[in-house]
Amino acid sequence: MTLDLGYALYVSVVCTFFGWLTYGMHGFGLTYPVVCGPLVGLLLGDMRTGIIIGGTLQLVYLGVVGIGAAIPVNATTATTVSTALCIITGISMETAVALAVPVAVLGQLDRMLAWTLNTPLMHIADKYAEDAKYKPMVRLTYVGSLIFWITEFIPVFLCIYFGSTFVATLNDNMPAWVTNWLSASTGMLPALGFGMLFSMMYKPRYIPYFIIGFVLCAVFKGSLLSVALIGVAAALINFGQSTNARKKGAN
Amino acid sequence: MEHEVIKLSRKEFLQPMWRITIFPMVTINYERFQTLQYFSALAPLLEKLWPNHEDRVEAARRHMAFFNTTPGLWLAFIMGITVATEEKAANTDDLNEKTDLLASVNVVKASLMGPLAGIGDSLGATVSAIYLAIASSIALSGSFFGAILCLVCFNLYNLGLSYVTYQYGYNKGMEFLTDVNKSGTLDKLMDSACILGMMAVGALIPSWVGFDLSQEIMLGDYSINLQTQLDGILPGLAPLALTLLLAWCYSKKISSLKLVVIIFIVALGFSLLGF
Repeated sequence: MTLDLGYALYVSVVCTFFGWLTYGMHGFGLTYPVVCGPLVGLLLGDMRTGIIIGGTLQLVYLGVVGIGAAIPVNATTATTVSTALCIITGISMETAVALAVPVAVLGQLDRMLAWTLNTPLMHIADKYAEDAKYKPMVRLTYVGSLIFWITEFIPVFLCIYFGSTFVATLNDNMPAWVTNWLSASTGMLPALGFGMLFSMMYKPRYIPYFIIGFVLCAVFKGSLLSVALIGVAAALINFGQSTNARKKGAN
Repeated sequence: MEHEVIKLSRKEFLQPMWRITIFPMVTINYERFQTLQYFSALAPLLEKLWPNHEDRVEAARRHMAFFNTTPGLWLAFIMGITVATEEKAANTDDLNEKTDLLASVNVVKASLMGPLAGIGDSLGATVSAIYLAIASSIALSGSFFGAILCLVCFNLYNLGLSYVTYQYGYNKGMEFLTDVNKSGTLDKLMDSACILGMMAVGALIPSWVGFDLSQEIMLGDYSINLQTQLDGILPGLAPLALTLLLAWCYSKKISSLKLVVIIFIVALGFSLLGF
């Protein structure tokens, strides 16, 4: 199947928009897979697929956050592109989630490129600063935003325009063991997100809370929201106690 | 030189906050990160405060010095302090005081950006992980409400709190900081958020990690279903073990990308074995 060029452009603009928001403006929460997945689905006429892929990828990338100066993998563009490819080509959701992995890395690379291309703007701004030319300096920020759009758009368009043909052909000739393999992999991927989160927050004294949360869900089949509420209660107790202890210590 | 006091209107006062909150990282780069963005958020206010050419040049130079911190409420807080200091400096007649105040602008920015980024990045990650986990479990049941929950929480935390911290920074700025360090409020907040976060992670594992070993294994005429055996010990044991193993690998500085590749390889092994 070949994609109509106009439609490919429309899809690419939709997919780029959410990834661009991350740096090109402000996320407003729209850059999270759980949000941009459904919205891309809505714009391409299959919201349900977007909701499920977005939810799955959100769990995979739960631990992905920018810490310090490092650029994290691009979970947003990974979600938008794999949702779009899933809707366009009709591949299974497991395959789409697996596709997100390379796209996320590609999307990380294009942001590194944008960060590099933005560097000369500093030196132009320094020159303007010497003459107190504020307006041109502010205008440079639009250039920065545009750089993020261009670097995000080109790989997305290539993925959508050429990727859809490639993925559709691949999908038609997919042997059963590959399908099994992909669904096994994507089932295990959320463990990585949780694992990253776990090691980020880990302190020995949090282990009891981890155990309580696990057992309430695994054994007593509690819903996540109910367990989270117990977590809120535990957090509040802890906060109150440490405040009281400090007050007593002060007296 | 005598000059009249420059008063900021409410709109002018709030403008830098909106500009830096809505466009925090547009010109982010490897050399000076958010620097230019911080300056352009302030630009209209600086033009109003500093009518003289020399002062404007100085102000532009001042804010072109390296700056980078966590966007959102933390950035807005520092912005609040900057605005208060610049305004005070522009309205003082004492030249020494003006020099001191302006020198303190960058000192405050530089000394706050590191610690606040440290707290901001990890607290933000913990807080967002909690609502994102809940949001995705709602989404996986096929409901759009997950996305709405995420949008509401994110914007309350980032936009809503920016509005609060900016004004706090402007009014109480330095006072608040010394106070917080004394009472350790932020540490306690972080601690309590981690408790909630750890409980949520524990709760997520059994439902959302798909690690199923339910294929029958034949040993002669004796068949074992590994999954039934494991469930007999503790439901969700396999996902738990997998998650803890990955957490351990990650804490040993194995990159997440490498771990993804390893997961795919292990899954290939399992699927070839017929699981």
